[in-house]
Formats: sequence, C-alpha cells, structure tokens
Amino acid sequence: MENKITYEIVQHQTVIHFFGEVDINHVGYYRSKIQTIFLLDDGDVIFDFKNTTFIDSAGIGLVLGRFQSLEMQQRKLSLCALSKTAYKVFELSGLFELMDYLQEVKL
Amino acid sequence: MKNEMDLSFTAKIENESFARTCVASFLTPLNPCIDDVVEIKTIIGEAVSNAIIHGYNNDGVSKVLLSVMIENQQTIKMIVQDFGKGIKNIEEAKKPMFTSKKELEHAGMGLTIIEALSDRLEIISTLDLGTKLIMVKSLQQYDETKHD
Repeated sequence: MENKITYEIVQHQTVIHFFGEVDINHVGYYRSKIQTIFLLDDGDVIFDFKNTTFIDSAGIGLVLGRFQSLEMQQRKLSLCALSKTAYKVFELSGLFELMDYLQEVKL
Repeated sequence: MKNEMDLSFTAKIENESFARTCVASFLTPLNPCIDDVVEIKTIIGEAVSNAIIHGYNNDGVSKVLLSVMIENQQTIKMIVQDFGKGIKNIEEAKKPMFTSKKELEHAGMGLTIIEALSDRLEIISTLDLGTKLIMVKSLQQYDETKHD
C-alpha cells in the first residue's frame, strides 16, 4: 500500500486519513504536511487510521506533537479506527487520556 | 521446528522498515496470526530504530545485527545488537516518555512498547561499547476456526 495522507474538511471539521505506514521514515514529511493542513480551517480534527498498516513510536510522537499544536489553538483532536496493536501502544502511551477515540469517522 | 536467521545492515533509518519486513517474512512458515505479526514488526521496528538513532546517531556506516530464532513452533527469540553509544541508565531509559533526543519529537515510548508487546525483554548495555536487546515472544496458537 502506498504511504500517504489525504484530508477533507467537512462542516468545519478536518479529517486526515493515513495510508500505509506511519513510521520513523515518514513522520518528518507528514508533520509539515499536517501543519499546513491545520492552517486551512480552525475547527476540530480527526486522525483516521483505518487504512494504516503500521504505526511505531515515532508515529505516536507525531500524534502527540500535533495534539499539542492544536491544543494551543483550543482545537480538539480525536483518533479513529486504530488496529488492535496500534490501539494497545496508544493506550500504553496514555494518548486516550488526552484524546477521544472513535470507531469510525462520522461526518 | 528450529530455525535461525542473522542479518547485518547499515545504520540508516530506511533499513528499519527492511528489518521488520524481513522478520515478518522469516516467520511466515509458522502461519502466525495477523496480531502477532504486527506486534513482532512493532517490536523489531522499535529495537532497530533505537540501535540506529540512539546507538549510532544515524551515522549510515556502522552495522546493526539482528538475529531471530524460532525455538519451537510458538516461541520466537529476537536479538538486536549495536556497537554504539550504549545506554547510560537502563532503568531511566525504560521509563515511559523518557527520551534523550527531545528535539526529534519522539514519544520516548520505544522500550516501553517493546516490554509491553514481548513476553521477556533483557537489555545488556555498556557505555561506548553498545547495546544488546534480547526479546522473547510466544505466538498465539493459530486456530483457523477463530479466523473466519
């Protein structure tokens, strides 16, 4: 599967879809791309991992960093559709104490 | 079934994905379930990126060694070794959210994740001599009736 991110902004809500691997090789590029997407709207954000095949701790760092950047603008970040293993490591990292988890994206 | 593999590769971060994919292919004959494969890939990914980034500072020259041993149908032993910087304080490094490279926006979760996903983690490290991670993981019994 191709590694990429896509986004849509629907009703003042930004959804970012992650495809393929969200690992140490890709987080640098994704970070700057996501920061640019954040500038397009000032509403809440959902990260959708439905089509993500692999996430490592660099991916967790990416999510945490974006959460902090949104928090400074009083915007909310929610996470969606993680794999079983990814859910486990996100939980371990305490991310669900900071962010909501959704089973699927509902717009 | 006893089986072993050894792999040696340069400390370049793009080799992290190569290493975890290699291990997943090596384990294919065991017919592991998808959750086990993803967990093992995560364990290998974290261990190898630690060796490359922290052990060798991403120098693109030094070698990381990776061995995988299938001890029986269910038990996998994985060893990731570098001859780099070593860990100053292992207990501190294992703490969640600890990172020695804050500027990289890493979560500091690598060792915590490895410890949580594997059955056993042993860290042998000496400053300026390197670090060796020994990880053992048991596979779930593959049962086709549960994977319809």
